[in-house]
Amino acid sequence: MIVLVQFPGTTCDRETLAALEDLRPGRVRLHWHQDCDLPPQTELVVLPGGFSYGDYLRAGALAARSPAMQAVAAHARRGGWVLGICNGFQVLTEAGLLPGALVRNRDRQFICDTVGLDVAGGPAAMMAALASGPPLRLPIAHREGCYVAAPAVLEQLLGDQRILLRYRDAGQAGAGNPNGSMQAIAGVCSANRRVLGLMPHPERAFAGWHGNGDGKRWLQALVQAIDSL
Amino acid sequence: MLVRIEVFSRPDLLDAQSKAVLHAVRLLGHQGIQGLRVGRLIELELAVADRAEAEALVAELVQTLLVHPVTEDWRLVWPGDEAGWSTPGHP
Repeated sequence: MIVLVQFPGTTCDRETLAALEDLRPGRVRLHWHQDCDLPPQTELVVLPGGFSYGDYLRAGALAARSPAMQAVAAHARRGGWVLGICNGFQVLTEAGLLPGALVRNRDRQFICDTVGLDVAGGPAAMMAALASGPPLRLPIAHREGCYVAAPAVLEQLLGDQRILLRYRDAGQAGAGNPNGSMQAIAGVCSANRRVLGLMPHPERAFAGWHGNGDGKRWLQALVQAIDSL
Repeated sequence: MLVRIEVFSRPDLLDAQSKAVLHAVRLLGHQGIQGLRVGRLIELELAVADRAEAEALVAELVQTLLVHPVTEDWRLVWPGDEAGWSTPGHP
């Protein structure tokens, strides 16, 4: 079962639900932030995008301390799968389930765009599934998407292939790196490769009318990786 | 007891907001401004017996929620610590 957590201020729950329902018909449940226990049989918890608690204090800071997140942390400690998209990624870093932090974009603007991405790490089955086919192009929409981490943490992420996605062609004078993220990081995963966070929105490149199926490719690879274990 | 926590972006990180404000200040033609940092001020009204208890409570709050350990530095400011500390709304 896939559990989709809703916080006050979550805005991407509907389209994320539609995408997950497409992948796992009848096996997606919504979960309110004040509810403590996750349903039994929870395989994957998804934290969707939005502006939880109005981004008060820091983006994701208050959601990370909600009752639901205590249960999500326990689920992660048991080796459960967790996916955080955009604000969900911010919540996961704030909760300490992923390393580093997401701060205001380099140019201080809200960026709404579609960007090229390279798969640089993550669960082996996902990497294998995504290796074939053209590079991913996914929508981004955020103001706090600049990934920062201590040098030792970055080294570890690089060495252990824990960088899920990197903004493509970020090498030349920052071109291609929309928000100034260190190492052009667009997503990372935990040491056991079960907790995943990314700034791009795969659920917005999913349905036929989106005109881009790369998000579906990415989410399908994730669901297949979960199924393969 | 009224205390304040000053929170600033860590100096080794790009602080885009402060950079932008400094740039704007210079564009206005002001000279002699070497640095500028925009931070966050949190005022706490504590019902505690003494300074030690206040310090312990603040340290706990800072660690669990108020300050991000990766991106931010903080300091505790006591009333009267700084000359000219104005407290609108508080006597």
